[in-house]
Amino acid sequence: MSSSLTFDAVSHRFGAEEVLRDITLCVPESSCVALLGASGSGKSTLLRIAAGLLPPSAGQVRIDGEDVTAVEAEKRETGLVFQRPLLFPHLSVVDNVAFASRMAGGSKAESRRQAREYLELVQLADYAQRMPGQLSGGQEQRVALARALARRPRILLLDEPFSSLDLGLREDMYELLETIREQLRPTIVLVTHDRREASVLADTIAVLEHGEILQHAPVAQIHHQPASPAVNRILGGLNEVLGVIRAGVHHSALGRITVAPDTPDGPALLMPRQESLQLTGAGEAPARGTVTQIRPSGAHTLVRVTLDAAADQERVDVAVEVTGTPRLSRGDTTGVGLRGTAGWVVPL
Amino acid sequence: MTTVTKPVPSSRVPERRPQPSARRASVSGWRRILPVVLGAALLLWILLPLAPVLLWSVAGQWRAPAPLPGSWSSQALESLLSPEILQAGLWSLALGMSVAVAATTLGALAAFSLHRLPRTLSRIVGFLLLTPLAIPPFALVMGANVLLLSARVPTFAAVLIVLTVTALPYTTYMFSVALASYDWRFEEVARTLGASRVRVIRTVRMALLAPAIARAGFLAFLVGWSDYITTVLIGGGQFRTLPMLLGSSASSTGGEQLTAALSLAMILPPVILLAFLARWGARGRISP
Repeated sequence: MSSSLTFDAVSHRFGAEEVLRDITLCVPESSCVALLGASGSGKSTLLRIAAGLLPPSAGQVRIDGEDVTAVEAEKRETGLVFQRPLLFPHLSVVDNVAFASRMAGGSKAESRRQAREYLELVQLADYAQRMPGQLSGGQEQRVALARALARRPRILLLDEPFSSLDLGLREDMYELLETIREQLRPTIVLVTHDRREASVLADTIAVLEHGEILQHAPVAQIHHQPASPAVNRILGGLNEVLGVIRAGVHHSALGRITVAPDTPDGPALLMPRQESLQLTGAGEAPARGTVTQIRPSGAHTLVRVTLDAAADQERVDVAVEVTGTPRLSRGDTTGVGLRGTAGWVVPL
Repeated sequence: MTTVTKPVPSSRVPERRPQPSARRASVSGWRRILPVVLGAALLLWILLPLAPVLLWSVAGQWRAPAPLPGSWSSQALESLLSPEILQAGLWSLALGMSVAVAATTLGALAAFSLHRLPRTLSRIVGFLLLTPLAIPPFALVMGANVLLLSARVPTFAAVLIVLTVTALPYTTYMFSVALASYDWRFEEVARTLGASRVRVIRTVRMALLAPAIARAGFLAFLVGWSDYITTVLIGGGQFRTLPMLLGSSASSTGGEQLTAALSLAMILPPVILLAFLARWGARGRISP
């Protein structure tokens, strides 16, 4: 059922505005890639191009290596789920799920039988005879997912499918998608602006901004080794520490941090995530600073510290995420250190 | 000098206020009753004028100021089965159905085209489509008559063309309103589910727009079914419809029974059609 999907130098224009610029991206078979970006970054346009609903201005779309750019949406064998479930209101739940089979020429009885299997997969077999208006938002989205899966798509395209659901339902949907991935192993392209959702559901994340892919990498790597400050910010990273690389060591107000040995000497931004920093006693750490803000966030607290800088160094503010509530107040002096030994830098 | 009023202890306040829950119950009670009362009043408003029509249609003699007819007769109702009236009914039905089909189809096409135009142009064209409503029917028909006569258009077709133009603003408006809230992504989803463009129109678009089709078709049917001026002026008496018979009967004296019976014959088909369309629109009869 699953296939690989490749965007090969895909560009798209709406009039004079270029919304996608030279996108090259490979989604391996049975993997899940999240397209992460803000509104207007072009991620939904890319999904519509993948579905065959929009022809690209330039470039090619390949499924299993075969060029499908000119193949119409109804023949492309993709399944699409939007933010709104968009269940056909004049059809019952089972007939919504049976729609693809009916379009393929299946009999009503056989199509409904198959549809019930997919309704069982999304745990809604008991709701088969209901009309869409009789379902809750979460149930509607489950049916929409079942309907897309019943198409037996080579690629499953999800356009912010859970963003209108409340937090609890969203967690349920994440679990459901995990089950579906285990059982059917579909290739999934997920469009989202929620970095947590991308991290929970996807194997790799492609960060889009202004129609360009800034970086495509596995979830952990893209968080801890962002290719640019923009990627770092989109992934929720709060720290960019300006310093200088000398012989594989980054010198800044945060102290001397070892970086990759092949990093060229010169000015560079060290980008330790707030979760990678820790507060220590003022005397123990190579860097010291003054607490400027303490912001509780449930089980964690975000502490902002202005580091003491030498005369030749830039003043640096860093954010440190700590578990629980630290025994600190604004104005206190604290030490700040990096968990682990190596840091990640982007040369300037 | 300032006068300070002491607050009265609550235990001394003699009046009893309803408890909040009781007040809420009374408000919710009114909320339940009010729509029923208003609905009943509306029904009465519509049905009350029909009572004299119904009574006249089965009256033998009815002299004022008697509240009810002095004698009863089914003669007027029986006369509805006369060949002349049946023929007129068929002409009216043909005209109503033809206008409904033509104006609904053209209205849908016009609304889809308007929807695709840039906003400013769409407003201008929309305004132009509404102009037949602003022109007095007599003037519109006289102007069209000259044009259609010189073009040698057959009578029924000429009447149909003018009535379609008259009905077009209603049908276009109905579809424009429906399209304003229409989510085109339903069609995109259907296409990714394997539906061709033609099947998308049949199984999704028509089904989702079924209520608008029903409303537009019904209004256009009414324009054709109940028309008098166009049929008289352009038809020139070549075919006689129910409104023409009704007009002729109503203008003569002593024919109240027949006028009432013809009025009922005019009312019943649209009511039956409305009931059918309401059911069709609510259910959505189109399935894949």
